[in-house]
Amino acid sequence: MIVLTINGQAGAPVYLGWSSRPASLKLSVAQPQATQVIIKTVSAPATGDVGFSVNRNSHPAATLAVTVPANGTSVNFFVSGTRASTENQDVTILVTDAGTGATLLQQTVMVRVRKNANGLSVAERNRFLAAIAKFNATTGTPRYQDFLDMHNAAANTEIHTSSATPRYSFLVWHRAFILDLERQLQKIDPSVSLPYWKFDEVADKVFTADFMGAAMASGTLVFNASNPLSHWAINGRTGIVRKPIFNVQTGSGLDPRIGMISEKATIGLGTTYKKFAPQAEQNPHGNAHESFSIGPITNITTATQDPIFYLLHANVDRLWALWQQVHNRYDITSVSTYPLKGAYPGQGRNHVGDFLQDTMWPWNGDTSHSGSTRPPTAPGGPFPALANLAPSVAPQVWQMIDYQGYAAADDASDVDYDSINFNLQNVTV
Amino acid sequence: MNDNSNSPDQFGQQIDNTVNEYKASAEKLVQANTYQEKEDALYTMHYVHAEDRKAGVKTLQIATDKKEVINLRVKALQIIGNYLYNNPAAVKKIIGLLSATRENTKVKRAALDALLAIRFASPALLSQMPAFREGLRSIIHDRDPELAAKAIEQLAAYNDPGVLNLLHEGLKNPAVALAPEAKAIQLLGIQHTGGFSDTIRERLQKSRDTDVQIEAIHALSGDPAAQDDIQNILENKSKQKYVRLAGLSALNATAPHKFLESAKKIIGDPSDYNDVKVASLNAIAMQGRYNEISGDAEFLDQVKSLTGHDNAIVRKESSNFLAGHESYLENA
Amino acid sequence: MYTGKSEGEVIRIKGDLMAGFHHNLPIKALPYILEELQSARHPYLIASAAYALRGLKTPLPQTVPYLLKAAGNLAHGDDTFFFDQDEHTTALKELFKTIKWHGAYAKAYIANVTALSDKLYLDREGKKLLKEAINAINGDARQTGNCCDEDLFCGGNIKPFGGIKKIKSLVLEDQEGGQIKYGEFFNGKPAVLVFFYSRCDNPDKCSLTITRLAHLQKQLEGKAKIAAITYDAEYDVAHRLKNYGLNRQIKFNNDVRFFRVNADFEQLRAYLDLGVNYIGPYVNKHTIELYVLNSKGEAVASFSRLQWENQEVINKVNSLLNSKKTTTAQSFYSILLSAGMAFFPKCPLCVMAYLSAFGISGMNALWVGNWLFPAMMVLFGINILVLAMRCRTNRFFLPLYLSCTGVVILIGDHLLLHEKAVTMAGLICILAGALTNAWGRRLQQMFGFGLVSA
Repeated sequence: MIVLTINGQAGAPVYLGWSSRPASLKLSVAQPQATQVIIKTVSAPATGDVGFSVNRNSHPAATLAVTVPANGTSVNFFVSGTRASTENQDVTILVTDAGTGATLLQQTVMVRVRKNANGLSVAERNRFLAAIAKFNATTGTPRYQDFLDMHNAAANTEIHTSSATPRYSFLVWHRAFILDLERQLQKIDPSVSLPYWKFDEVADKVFTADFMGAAMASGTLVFNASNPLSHWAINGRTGIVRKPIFNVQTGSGLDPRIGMISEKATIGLGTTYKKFAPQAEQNPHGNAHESFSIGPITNITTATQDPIFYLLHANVDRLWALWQQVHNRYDITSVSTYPLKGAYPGQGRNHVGDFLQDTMWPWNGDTSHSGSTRPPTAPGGPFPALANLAPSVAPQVWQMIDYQGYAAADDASDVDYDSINFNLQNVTV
Repeated sequence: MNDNSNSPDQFGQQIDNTVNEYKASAEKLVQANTYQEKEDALYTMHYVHAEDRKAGVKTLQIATDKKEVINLRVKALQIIGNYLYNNPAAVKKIIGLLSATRENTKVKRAALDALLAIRFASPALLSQMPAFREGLRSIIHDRDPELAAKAIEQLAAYNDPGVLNLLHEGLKNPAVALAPEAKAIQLLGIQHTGGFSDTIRERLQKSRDTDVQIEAIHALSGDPAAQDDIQNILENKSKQKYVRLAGLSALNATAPHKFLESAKKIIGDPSDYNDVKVASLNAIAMQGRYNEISGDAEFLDQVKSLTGHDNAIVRKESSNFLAGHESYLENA
Repeated sequence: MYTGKSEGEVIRIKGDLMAGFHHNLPIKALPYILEELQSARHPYLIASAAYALRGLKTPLPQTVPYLLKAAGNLAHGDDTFFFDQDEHTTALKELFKTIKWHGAYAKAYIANVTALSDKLYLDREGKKLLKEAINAINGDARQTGNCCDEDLFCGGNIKPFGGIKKIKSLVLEDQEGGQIKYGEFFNGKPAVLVFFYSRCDNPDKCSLTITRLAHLQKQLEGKAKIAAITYDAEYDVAHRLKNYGLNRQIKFNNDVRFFRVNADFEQLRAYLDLGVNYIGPYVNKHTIELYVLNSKGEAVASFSRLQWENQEVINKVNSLLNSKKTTTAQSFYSILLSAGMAFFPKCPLCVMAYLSAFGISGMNALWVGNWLFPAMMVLFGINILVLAMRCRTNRFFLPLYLSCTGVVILIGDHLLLHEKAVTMAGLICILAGALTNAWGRRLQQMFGFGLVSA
């Protein structure tokens, strides 16, 4: 009788982050009178929770009272995650009759955000491992090969700085790249999100045989029997090599031999993107890759052969997101947010794919610029776009910047970090 | 929680403090003349900002000055990375420390660490790659084993033919080995077209060292000629757990039909070890191979019987396996 | 030469060979050099190729883009080498030296050369070398004629290789796991065939080859079959073949398939003289290669070493489609003539018939007819000529041998023997020649016996 739509969908499992997402209630059949309802949640302390607000920029509340029109039109409001879930669909939204208290509708939700890999529950960790291992299964349709091909030698000049001119879209491209992978994993298990490896802190639970592997003296990893990563293979070759320079029980990327800068120093690299991004690409990003003495993760052309790549880059992306929050950098019209406006003008030191309006390789299928920086092949096909969320099937640079949707709800992707909230009251765009 | 206890404003203040602390330390370093002044500044700084030319020049000067106190040189090398990223001339000087005669070992180690730390994302180092490789070659026989080992490791990762041949000779004749056997096999196995498969296969057959066996299995995981050896290892209950698990993964990846033969034996053998049973079930389930066992009633019964096993992990894995199989049948 | 050699040895051997051309590089060897500049990633191959290019008598402007491409391919690490001088060099130095050596011949590419300062990260020495090269180009007053007069493109016609018969029975397994014989798939339409393998880690080779094959598929619009065969049959099982193609925009259908050859790949390798080598089961060296096959599956053109031009391939396919009609007419005429000659009144059956009809008892009586024998010889001569042309095309000479034998027997009989049995034998040979010309392939398919071919 009553229909709840969240983010353009009704009835399907819902996945939210911190950003306010549009929602509505309506009567499926017109009634003589409007219906007063209370919207609230049922959740346990260890599970996720959501809040509701009438306006996108209002602080979410635990309950919301609305009037559902009698004529079948919708009443709009907003819903956002307020506490991260630990299990799939562990939050239940209840719509109850304000008068009788009767439950009119229940909708399950998961507040799905990217979490610190070192703090995952066993269940969260195992779901992630199962999903990524299945994605790189040796049978079936191994699409993981695309993620190797998107980050190989041919792609280097497109996605990294390789000359004296910075590749400003480095952070943007990698944000899209790991989101692509995350959405592929969510096709296998929608409760999975990419955890981040906070490389300037001790991560003693990450580099273990139960999780991302424990290194032998030589650097080859061993995994416990039930860890799906033990079957990881690239081009038919098993065995991941990844030897940490730091002590995995007590150390981190701040080990003096690695020379990585701290999180605070990273955020302090500059107040404009033009200052921040090229330096962050080098340190801490480059130093994080080199916090291992040997292994595919230490080389650009082979880095994606090791699944730690995604945890590393999730943290790089989180650092950018944190920088955006601290310096209020969501307004794509400001050069402080991103320096290259418009589209590639056809010439100049900054190449195609670096400008705000440019679509990004390889999702745009563009191989027409062979002879310039663009790779000659475009593996992987279009971006796995989702309805009412950014980015599109051929993502443009600007679509990855306002990832929480400060300027407009539809600018948001479905990414959030556990420690970076959505605070529209304090952000001007 | 979405209530970021460290609010952006607070965090922003901390960042400002960090930046200000850096500026103060850098200024002190630039002005430092005495040992104590330099030490205080270097140990406070943590890093040299990429665009801080004055501090960078001073740090580079300390790092490369043979007359300077060793621990200051080492510290300077530990913090100079950002300054090197876009500075090929500075990179060249640091590379020079590797091959410098009578250079202190600690300084060489710190120099190598500094170069490796920036390698991933430094176009400046890339422009000096010929010199860097020559620098590495100059220390593969260094009297410091750690330094030599690092250089060998890096050159092997670059497929340096000279180093690979030396490692190969060392496998055949341990008296001239440049690296421990397991490490040598790992490095020689990076490239399967290296031509070392015969030697590695021989070591797999003869060595009793667990690490050697694991490395050899992974190095041979794409080699059809090694499949029988690997299958024998997997089925050999006297082999160490991780060796068998490595064999399981390798066989599953490159000879899936042979792996399945072995997996069925393992599951059906009550005396075989839990870890190998669990990994076998895991491999079939994770690799989406239910279609290959779906008609095998005997195998499925054996898995069902494992759901009552003493070991919790075996129970869990077998239950998950059967649940996955049910799901496969529903969707098939 | 490279079989059984490690990749490192292959690189060293090829690099040394190329470096040997530094003092004299014949044009025929140029594709081998350009191949490495276009797609090699190892600095020694790039350095040697650039060093070798200076062995040309005169610089060729068309080689400059290859040098520029190679500079980009060096992005992952240069190294130090020694050629025949004592001074050490690097791949980048050799590239810049060779660009400089081109001088005025590189003028058409001066903008691209200048852009290297932005595209590459150069230290002081690198910038100096680049500047020297630019100055050499700008300051060279030589008149170089028109750029690109000489076609460096490596495609061209090849003679049909022998041994097609063995190849036709090769079993191919496609990307769906289905099996088909070579002769069944490559039949009825021209085909474009490339080779690749999914574990190829050089993005300028197999990955690019299949991506470009997908473009070709679109442009050919079904006029030809499209196929790719893997060098790595053991690893490239059906689902890997399928995904490799799908991920590069190949649209599979009955006429567009990827294959692996489980057994007897060596036969195919020998037939096409494929540019692939192995160490154990692994590919240690391979070239880029595309073949155009006619409607019988015979290779009639190859485009190898360098990335082909799509239009050249399309032109070749079109020429095959156009020549099919002419070939059909030629075949028909020859068959007609052969059959006509076989069944001209002097054929055994007809002779018998005519003998019966006229009640004449001896063939010799007919042979002494003044007008008949010379007329017969003229017609035999025409038949032999047409047969010879056809046999040369098909490389299948049995009909010709039989017919010639028959004619010789008849002439000998007429001049010397005058024996009925000998006459019969001669006519049977001519008849057999005509029949084998028309039906030879069918007989082979039916009975599987090998027929003589040159």
